[in-house]
Amino acid sequence: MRTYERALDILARVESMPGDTTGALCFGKARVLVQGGAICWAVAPGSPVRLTDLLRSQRHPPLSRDELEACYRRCRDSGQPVGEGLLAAGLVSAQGLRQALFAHTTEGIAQIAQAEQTYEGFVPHQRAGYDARFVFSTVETMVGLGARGHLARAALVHSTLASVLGPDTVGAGFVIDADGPRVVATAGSVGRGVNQVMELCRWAHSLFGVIGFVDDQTRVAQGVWNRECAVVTWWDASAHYVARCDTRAAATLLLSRIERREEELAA
Amino acid sequence: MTGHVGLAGVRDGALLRVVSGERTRLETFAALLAPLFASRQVAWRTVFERSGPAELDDLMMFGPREVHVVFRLDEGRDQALMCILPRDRNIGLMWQAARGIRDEVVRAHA
Repeated sequence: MRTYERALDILARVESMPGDTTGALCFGKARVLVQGGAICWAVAPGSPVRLTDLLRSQRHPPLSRDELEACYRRCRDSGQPVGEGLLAAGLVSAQGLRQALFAHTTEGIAQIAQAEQTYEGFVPHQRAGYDARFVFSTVETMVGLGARGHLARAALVHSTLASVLGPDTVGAGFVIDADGPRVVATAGSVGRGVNQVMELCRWAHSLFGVIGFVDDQTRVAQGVWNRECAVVTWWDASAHYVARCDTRAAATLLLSRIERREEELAA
Repeated sequence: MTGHVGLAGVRDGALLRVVSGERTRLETFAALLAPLFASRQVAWRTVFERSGPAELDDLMMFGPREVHVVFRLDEGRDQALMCILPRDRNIGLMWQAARGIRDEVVRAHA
């Protein structure tokens, strides 16, 4: 099993836990902290990414180490959570703190997956104490993992989704590498969990395997997925895309936007 | 709107275009379909077993000049119809034309 798939297995494990569970999934010395089906934090020994560096880089010019360390010490002495302390001192914005925590968490999960750490058990915590602003859904984390190493492309894919998706439509963009599809951007709630999102992406990608035999110039297709909803899938130079449309009208609107976008790019 | 009509199926993992690429009258197509429908060698699902669970019923593929529409005709026997229509900006019209062809084929073989 490859690194990305192993990381998705960790996320699927989080999803399989009861919704009110709070605690730590243990992988050797590495930990993934969860709360209410979301991920709060992940840490893996030997990770090349340090939270301190991520926090410093949220400001320009970067925060000084001295400022950060002084805040850490104050928080340690008072028992205040470090994140709250950083916000209260105005050293980092809420958005900056979230970005830093998210980058650290995805890196931690990637490290656990790469090191092929075995799951050793769950240690429950007595109470949920993480600020809801700074926890991450499993699908959001999956996107963060997929975008590692593809950041520029992920930004482009996100922009494409934003420009073509209309009402009653949600979508995802993914790239294909040796691990298969890697989701790099989503718009809206594409699936109930990581496995459903991946299933949709694999299905969309497999369609072009069939379609290519019929007409290798085909870039866009519309179908019905699981007999549930209309799905439009297409690809361009950057990525593959798949969108779920609640109505046929929404699918038709999306198709015409994709067509117009292709015409604009070709002009 | 008239279009090309074909039968798509899978045999030994390869997608076949049994009839396509030429404008075919429905009567001719129906005559061609009859022996194929009687045969169980056209196994539509094989390719999906290889590429993951996929439902290709009501699939519309947009090529530069043509649109291919696939309907599953008989799920129990894994047979499907592929219509090839000239590309039109009106997607609803293309669906309508494709469904008309599908319904005619279904009626002809009811």
